[in-house]
Amino acid sequence: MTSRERVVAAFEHREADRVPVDLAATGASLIHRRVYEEVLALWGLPPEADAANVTETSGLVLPGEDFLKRAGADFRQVGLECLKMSTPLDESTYLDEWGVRWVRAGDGEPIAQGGPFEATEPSIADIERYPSYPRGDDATRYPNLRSRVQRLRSETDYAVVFDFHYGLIRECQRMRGFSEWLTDLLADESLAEAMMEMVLQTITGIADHALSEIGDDIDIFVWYDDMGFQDRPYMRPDLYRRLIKPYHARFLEAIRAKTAAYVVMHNDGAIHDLLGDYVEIGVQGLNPVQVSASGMSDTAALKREFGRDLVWWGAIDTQHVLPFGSPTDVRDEARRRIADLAPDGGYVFASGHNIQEEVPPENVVAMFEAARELGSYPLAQGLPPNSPV
Amino acid sequence: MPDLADLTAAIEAGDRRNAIRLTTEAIDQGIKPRTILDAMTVAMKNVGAKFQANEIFVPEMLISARAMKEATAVLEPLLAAAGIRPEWTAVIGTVHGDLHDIGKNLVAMMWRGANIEVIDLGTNVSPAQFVEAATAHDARLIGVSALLTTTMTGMRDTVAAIRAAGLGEVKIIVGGAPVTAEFAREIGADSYAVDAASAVEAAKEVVGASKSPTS
Repeated sequence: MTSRERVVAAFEHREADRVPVDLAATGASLIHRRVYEEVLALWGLPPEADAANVTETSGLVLPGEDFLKRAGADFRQVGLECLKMSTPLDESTYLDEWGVRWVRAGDGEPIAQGGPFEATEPSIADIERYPSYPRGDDATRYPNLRSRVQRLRSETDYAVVFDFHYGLIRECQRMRGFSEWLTDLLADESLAEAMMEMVLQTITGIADHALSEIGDDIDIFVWYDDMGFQDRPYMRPDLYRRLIKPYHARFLEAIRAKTAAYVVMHNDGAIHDLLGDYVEIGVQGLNPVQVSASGMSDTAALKREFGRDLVWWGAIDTQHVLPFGSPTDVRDEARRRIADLAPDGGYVFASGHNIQEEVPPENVVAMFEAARELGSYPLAQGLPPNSPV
Repeated sequence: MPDLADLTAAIEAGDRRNAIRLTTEAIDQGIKPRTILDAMTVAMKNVGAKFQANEIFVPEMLISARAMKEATAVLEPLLAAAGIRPEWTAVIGTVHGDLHDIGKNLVAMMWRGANIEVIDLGTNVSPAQFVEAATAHDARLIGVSALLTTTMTGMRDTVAAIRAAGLGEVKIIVGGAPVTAEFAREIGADSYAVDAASAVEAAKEVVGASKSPTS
């Protein structure tokens, strides 16, 4: 069975030969360079010429082919190169393509810290007249997109992921300021809507152009919009449904018009109460399944509740087990999540977010070994040691 | 005499205009500044309780805190004139290497809403900066926040530096998405708060009932 067939089976909620595995095919399943180099050594692999930091200002790496094969990765991605659309201001600061300022502390990952609508109260006219919304037809964003996808399609058996590294709310938050945007939801709804409308038009334009090139040739379309804190959604679910969901729905309608690929949403945090809404608007898979967030830890219950409606992509705990557990703990975690989420397909094995700098390399090895050894169908019988009865 | 319950309700609802109006009216009516302040802190206490019960979310908390801040600003000159100050001071910051601030900002808002003086050091704060600020402001409490597992480990150094500086009775509360009560204990913090609302109770508990602000 090829990787592509394995992935299609998972998304059709059928059991393949084994659970598909993702490493580095999304912006939330990458690995920090230091850990990557240590794992390379543990795996006895030589340095890879085809590995690269995802951007110059990130410590996260896109591993080379040998590493990905050793990990058993079933996917390859295009799209993360859009992160390079930025203008450096100094060694720790840059402007992204929306005009948002990003800052890093030392070697850390950059965070958005200063958008064009943050410092002053913008008017709706300011929002609508802003001259620097990214243009969909900017050819520098996805160089050689069609040929790269066609090469993946014709020369490999991997499932092809288009990591569309944009979202609706995330761009609004970055441009307006995180607290300011949350406040607008209650205090200035028409401003919040004006922003969502402009961002929706912008990201739909970008997606449109890209999908005109590759929509027929990709297997998975991943898009991003975090809606949850550690313990609860960003806003009341009924507010999400009334104010924001219509924009998400319009976006996905536009996507479906250009591709038949499976639609996977990246969404961190305690978003259980919004999952039904995402299914309604056409989300078919959820990444990264942050199991340490409230309401997301009982993966057996999630599987029961959503059945064939959602494919779960990720779920290996990265807040506690992967960085601070032992290799045995990691294996137990893998066993549990596979047992909970992989029956009848519907699970893509991946870390529950990027593998960060402090993760012991032995834990990374244990994770991918566990995927290989425990992920074969039919799944092993009997309850895993730490699953709820 | 205006009903201060309306002021409390306005702040709870995040209605900044009415909160300011009702504060001004109460002042004009000669109501004691302390009494007006108490009506405001009750509002934030109610907001905290609703947040802990998952009845409200962060946007509601933000607009309530903003209404409280603007209403307090109107009252501030009278409080100062009457010598009414918060009973004690807290220092807060995000740990070194970490630039995230929303959680820390929410805790600062809730502590101010409970009439604690808060010195907010911002993000990427070194252990030495925490020590310096706590000393300079005679703080009873230091709050340390982290969002990432990568930076959370730096909380260990921060707690160690604060203890090593011999700041006596200063208490340390830690929090943030990856932080747990177990981790807090392990690194020698005095307390852990799971969210901004719980952080008020945690502050009052560790600093001591006899030294806590009113309400």
